[in-house]
Amino acid sequence: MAEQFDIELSHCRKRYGAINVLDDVSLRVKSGEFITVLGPSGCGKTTTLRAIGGFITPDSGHISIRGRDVTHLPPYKRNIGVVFQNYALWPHMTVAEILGFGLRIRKLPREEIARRVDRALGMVQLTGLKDRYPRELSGGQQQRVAMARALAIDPEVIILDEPLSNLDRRLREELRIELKRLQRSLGVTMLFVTHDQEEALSMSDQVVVMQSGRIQQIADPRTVYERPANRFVAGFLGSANFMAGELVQNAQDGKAQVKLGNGAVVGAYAPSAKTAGEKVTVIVRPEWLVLERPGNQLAANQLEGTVGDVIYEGSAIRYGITLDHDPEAPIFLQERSNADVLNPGDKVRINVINAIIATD
Amino acid sequence: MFVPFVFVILFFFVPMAWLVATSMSTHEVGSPPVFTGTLEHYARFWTDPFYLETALWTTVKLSVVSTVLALIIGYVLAYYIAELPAHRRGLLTSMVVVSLSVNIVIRIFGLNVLLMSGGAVDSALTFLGMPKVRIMYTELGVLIGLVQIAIPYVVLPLIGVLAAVDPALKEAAESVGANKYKTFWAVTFPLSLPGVVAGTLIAFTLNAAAFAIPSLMGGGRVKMMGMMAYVQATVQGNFPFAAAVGISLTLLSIVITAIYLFVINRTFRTARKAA
Repeated sequence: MAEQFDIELSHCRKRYGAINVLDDVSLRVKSGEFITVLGPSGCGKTTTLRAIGGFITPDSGHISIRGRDVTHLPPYKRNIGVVFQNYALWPHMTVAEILGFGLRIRKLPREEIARRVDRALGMVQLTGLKDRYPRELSGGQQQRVAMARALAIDPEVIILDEPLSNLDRRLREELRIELKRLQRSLGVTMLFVTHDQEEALSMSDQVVVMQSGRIQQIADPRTVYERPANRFVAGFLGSANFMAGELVQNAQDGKAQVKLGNGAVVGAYAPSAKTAGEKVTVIVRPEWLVLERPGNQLAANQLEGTVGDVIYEGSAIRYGITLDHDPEAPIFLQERSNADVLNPGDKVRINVINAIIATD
Repeated sequence: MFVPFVFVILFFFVPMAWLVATSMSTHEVGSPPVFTGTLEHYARFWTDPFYLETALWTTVKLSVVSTVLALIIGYVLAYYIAELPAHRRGLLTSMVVVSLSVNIVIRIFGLNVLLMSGGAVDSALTFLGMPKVRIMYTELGVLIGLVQIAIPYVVLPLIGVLAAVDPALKEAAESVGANKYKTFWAVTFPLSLPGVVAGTLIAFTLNAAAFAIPSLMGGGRVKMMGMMAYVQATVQGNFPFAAAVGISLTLLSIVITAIYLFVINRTFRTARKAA
């Protein structure tokens, strides 16, 4: 028997006029997984979620939930919990009525409804707010009610559309942890849409990075950050420096040596096979650059430059550095802020400790 | 600042007070009404089965039924318009507004052409082999006229409230298992109640006081209170009785409106709280 997935999209396409909002999107989510769809606005992430929820039908391709083809089923026949960005709580119902609505439709006995409403409220720690109207709740409480409504119907999967984006930073971080804990303890499959890379990296088992309706990479958070599949993924998750170079020898088994513009040779990860002499771009994260005190001999993996911007960020300091060999492409370097602070104009030497060859 | 108050007092309260005073005056043919505080005209209207059965009952029946029909037709129309993309919604909304600005008499003559014997509706019915139905100068004709006049007043406020209902609220209902029908009754309709109430109140009060339609489409056979007051004042010259009929009509509208609001409040207590 083939492995069964809780959510499976195969070759979904959706076009609005001349724009491909979904361009051959295929995706598989295992049971109990927390998967995040990440990308800039207009990348197709919300369309993906709406297709899973049944609010739009793809022009072609198939969607199945736990092996059942739901491509052409309306939302109300799918049994998917949906958490909306603006929560979409019915303003004329109390919290208990909101949570019980889906259960009343399922014609459950009254006591069973009351029991399940209480249980859902307990899960999101809102016991005692049953008789409140949505407008009598804070933003965070409304978010929890929206979550509880999705949980109350005992759905096969839960999909969430940027559910934390309307909250302030502190609350967002708190709910992030809470949501993740809830998901893990219930073992429910969740698909979470966000444009916030921090959210995606900190919560997910798998991250799907999308751009222009296409999936750019699907991998666990460490892989998408440390082994981005292409330039877009590298630039979208965290910050990335791009440097031009040339392969010293054939790239094999993911390992390569790249000669940068000043002759420095750095070791780099190569996602695909390449031949010696090929021009490449390497991606270097700011924290993969380490400041070195000026010495006599320039080491093989070192660059030289001049400090430009100095940006103090509390736990870290970012330096904008103009490289001697390529002043046109300034780079960023990040250091913990307990080190000595450099000033604009200081000459520096930089160790490149990690790099990745970019593919487009 | 105080011009509006003067205007309202001068042109609304003074005539109203004068009307109330007239309704409590004695009536002598050939001499002007004399205020005596009498309630005889009210007594006559509210006790005579002729007035109660013809004027009062006809007025209540036609205004309530026409309001209900205008609400049903208007709701469907407003729902359709509100679901349209914004640029096309504007065009249809302005068509509704334009229909309001057409003079009522002209609209009635339009209806006349459509509904008279040998008119478009009559011919169509005959063509389909249906029995001949008289529409003009019957209660049915007046009812159609009242519904037609009332629809724009119902549609306009409803387009506003329906277009303002967040589509995500409906999607949320569908996501927990409600089909389109249940979603409408559980979410869309309760949220549109302020528009329903506004539209039906305007339609009902206008139609209860209707004058032009029963006059021109009722052929003198369909007696509504507004028309009766007019006949009493101009034909009979009985201003005090006409005034008493007019005031009675106003009180009747207020009472029915109050009952209506009370029932709505009771039935949709929570919906109104949220609105």
